[in-house]
Amino acid sequence: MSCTQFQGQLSSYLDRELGPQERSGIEAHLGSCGDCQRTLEALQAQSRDLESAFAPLRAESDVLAGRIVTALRAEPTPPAALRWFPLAVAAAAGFLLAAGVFLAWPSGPSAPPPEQAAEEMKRLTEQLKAERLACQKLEKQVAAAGPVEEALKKERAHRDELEKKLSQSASVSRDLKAAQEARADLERRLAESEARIAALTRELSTKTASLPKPEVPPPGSIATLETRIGTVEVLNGDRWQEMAPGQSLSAGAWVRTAPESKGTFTCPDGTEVCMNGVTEAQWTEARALRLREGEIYARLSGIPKPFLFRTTDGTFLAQEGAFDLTHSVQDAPMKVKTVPKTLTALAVLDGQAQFAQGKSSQVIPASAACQVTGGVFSPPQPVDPILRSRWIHELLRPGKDDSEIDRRVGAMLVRMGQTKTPEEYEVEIRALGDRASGALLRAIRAPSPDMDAYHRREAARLLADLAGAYRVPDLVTLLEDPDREVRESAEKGLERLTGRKLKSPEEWADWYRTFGPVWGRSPEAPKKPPLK
Amino acid sequence: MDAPDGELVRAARNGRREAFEELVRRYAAKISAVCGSRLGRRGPVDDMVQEAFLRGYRSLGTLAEPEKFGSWLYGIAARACLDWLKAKERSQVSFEALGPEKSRGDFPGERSVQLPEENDRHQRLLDEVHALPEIYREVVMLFYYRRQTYQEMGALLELSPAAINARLSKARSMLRERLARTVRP
Repeated sequence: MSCTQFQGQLSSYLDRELGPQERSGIEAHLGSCGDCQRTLEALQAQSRDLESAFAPLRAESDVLAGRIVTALRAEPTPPAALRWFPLAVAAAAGFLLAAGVFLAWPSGPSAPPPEQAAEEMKRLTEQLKAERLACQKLEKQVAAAGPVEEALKKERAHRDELEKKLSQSASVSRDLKAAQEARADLERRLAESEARIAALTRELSTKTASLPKPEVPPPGSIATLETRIGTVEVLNGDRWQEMAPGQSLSAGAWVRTAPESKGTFTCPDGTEVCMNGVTEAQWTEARALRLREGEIYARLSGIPKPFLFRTTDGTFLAQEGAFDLTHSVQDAPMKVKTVPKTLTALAVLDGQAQFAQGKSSQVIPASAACQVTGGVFSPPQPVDPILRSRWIHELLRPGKDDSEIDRRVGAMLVRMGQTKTPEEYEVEIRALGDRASGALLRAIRAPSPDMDAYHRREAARLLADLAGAYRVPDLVTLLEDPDREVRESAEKGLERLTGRKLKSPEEWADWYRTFGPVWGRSPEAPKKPPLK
Repeated sequence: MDAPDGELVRAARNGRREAFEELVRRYAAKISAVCGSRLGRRGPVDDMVQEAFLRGYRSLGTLAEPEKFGSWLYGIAARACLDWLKAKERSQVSFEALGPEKSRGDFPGERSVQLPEENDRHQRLLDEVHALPEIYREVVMLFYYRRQTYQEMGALLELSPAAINARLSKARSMLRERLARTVRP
C-alpha cells in the first residue's frame, strides 16, 4: 500500500473506526514512515483543537435540549400514526357530495323553482352532516385500532410461545417421575450434609474459644474514597483492585484513576484530595502524598502539621488552603537513551506553599503557579486558579460541597466582569447546571462587596437558564426585584420552567398560590424579596 | 441499554411525552450541528433547532419508518433552515445599507447577545470550519458537536460509513491546508 492510501485511512485510524487488522497494518507503516507519522500527529493536534473549539457549543446544546423539552410540554400530544383509511374515507365522502350536488342541480338555462332548490340544499346539508359524523367515527375507530393492532401482535406471539411450551411439556412429563425420585434423593443428601456442617461448626467454636485472642489493631485509615466518577483503583499486593466509595486507605497505599475518571478522598483531619483522570499517587502517610503522574487538587484543613506533596522533581509543603498539583512524564523516544523528562507544576488557589530546595525555600503565593523541571525552579507566575482547577467541578455535590460551589461560582461571576472573555467563566458556570443555582441566587440577593448591578444581572440571566423546577418560588420572589433586567430574567426562567407566560408579578403570585405546592416547596405564600 | 429510536417514537405516539424528550436529548447536539452548519455562526441556530423539534413533534404521526427518526428529523431541520434563509432573503431590502450592527436582530428570534470572543486559535479554526463547502462543514460539525461513530453519522445523513470517512478525511486535510496558509501568508 502506498503512503497516499495510508493517509486516506488516517482519519478512520484517529477516530478508532478501523478493525484490529487494519489498525496493526497502519501502525506497522507508521513505525517506518516519518511522513505519515507527522501527518498523523498534525491530524491529532488539529482534532484536539477542534474538540476544544466546539466544547462551548456542545455545552450550549445540552442547555438548549432542556429548553426545548420545556417548550414541548406546552404542545398537545402528537397524533397516532396516520393511515390511508381516514384520508380515503374523507376523499370518497367529498366525491360523493360533489357528485350529488352536480347531479341534483338541474342543467339547462332555466333556474329551478326556489322552493325546490331550498329543499335540495337542505337535503344536501343533512347528507353532509351525516357524512361528516360517519367520517369522524371512522377516524376514531382507526385511531383506536393502533394500540389494538399492537396488542393483537403481542397476543399472537404469546400464543406461539405457549404452543411451544406445551409441545415441550409432553416430553417433560415422561421424565417427571424419574426427576421427582432424583430430587428426593438429593434432598435427603443435602439434609445429611447440613447436619454434618452444624456439628463441625460447633466443634470449631469450642476449639477456637480456648485459644488466646490475637491483638489486631484496626488498620489506621488515612483517607477514604468519598465520590468517584469512572474507575478508581487501589494496589492490593501486585494487583490493582477497583475501589468503592466508603473504602479506606492505610499508610503506603497506591491509588490510581482510569482515563476520564475522577475521585475525591477525605481525610480524618478534614482535608479533601481530588484525583483527575490518569493519575497515580501514593498516600505515604497522613498528610503526605507522592504524585507519580497526573493531577491532584487538595483543600487542606489547617492543622499545625504541614502537608507534603512529593514528586520526582521535589517536595512542596503547605499548611492550609487549596492547591492544584500536576506531574507529567514525557517518555523519551525509544531509540534515544535519555532519562525521561518530567515536569511538576503547583498552582496555589488560596493559602501559600513552599518549595524546598537544598537549604533555601521558595514561596508560592495565592493565585500563582510555579514549575519545576530537571531540578530547575521557575519563579511563580500569576494564574487563574478557578480555571486551573475547573476539572473538579464534576465532583462537587450539592449539599455537601455547597461552600466550595458558592466560592467558585462567586469568584467566576466576579471575573466575568473583569475579563474580555467572560464566556470562559460562563461555560464553567453553565456546566455546573442547577448545582450553581443556589450560589447564583445568593449573588442576586446578597451580592459580595466586589459585585455590582452587572453581576446581579448576569447571575439572574444564568439562573433563568439553569435553575431546576424547585426554584420556582425563588424566581417568583425575584419578580419584585428593583432591577428591571433581573425581573425580566426571572420571568424568562419561570416561562422556561412552567411553560406559562403571565403578565405581572401579581398574576405569578396568584398562579403560585394555586399551583405552588406542585413545585416542590411547602404551600406557604411566597416570601418577600429583600428590597433595597 | 438505551431504547432504540423506533421504540421511543412509538411510545411518543401513544402519548408518552418523556419518550420524545429522550429523543430531544439524544438529537439536540446533532441537530444543532446541522442548523449551525447551514445558518452560519450568526444565524438563529437555537431557534431553528427548537423549530425542527416542534415540527417533528407535531408531525410524528406521519413518520412512516420510526426507526429512521434521525434522518427524518434531519430533513425537517434542513427544511426549517432553508425556509428561514428564504424568508431572510425576501425581507432583506438592502443588506449593505443596514450595516453590520443593524442587520443583526432584525429578524425575529435571532441571537441578540454578542457572539463570544473565543480565543484566537479556536476563533480562526471555527471560521475555517464555516468556510468549508457545505458537505464537508456538515460532517466536521456533526462529529465535533457530539462524538459519534461513522455508522451513526451515516444513519443520519443516509450515507455509508465509507462516504463519511471520505468526507471527514477531505475536510480535515482542507482545514490543515487553509490554516497553514493563514499562518504563513
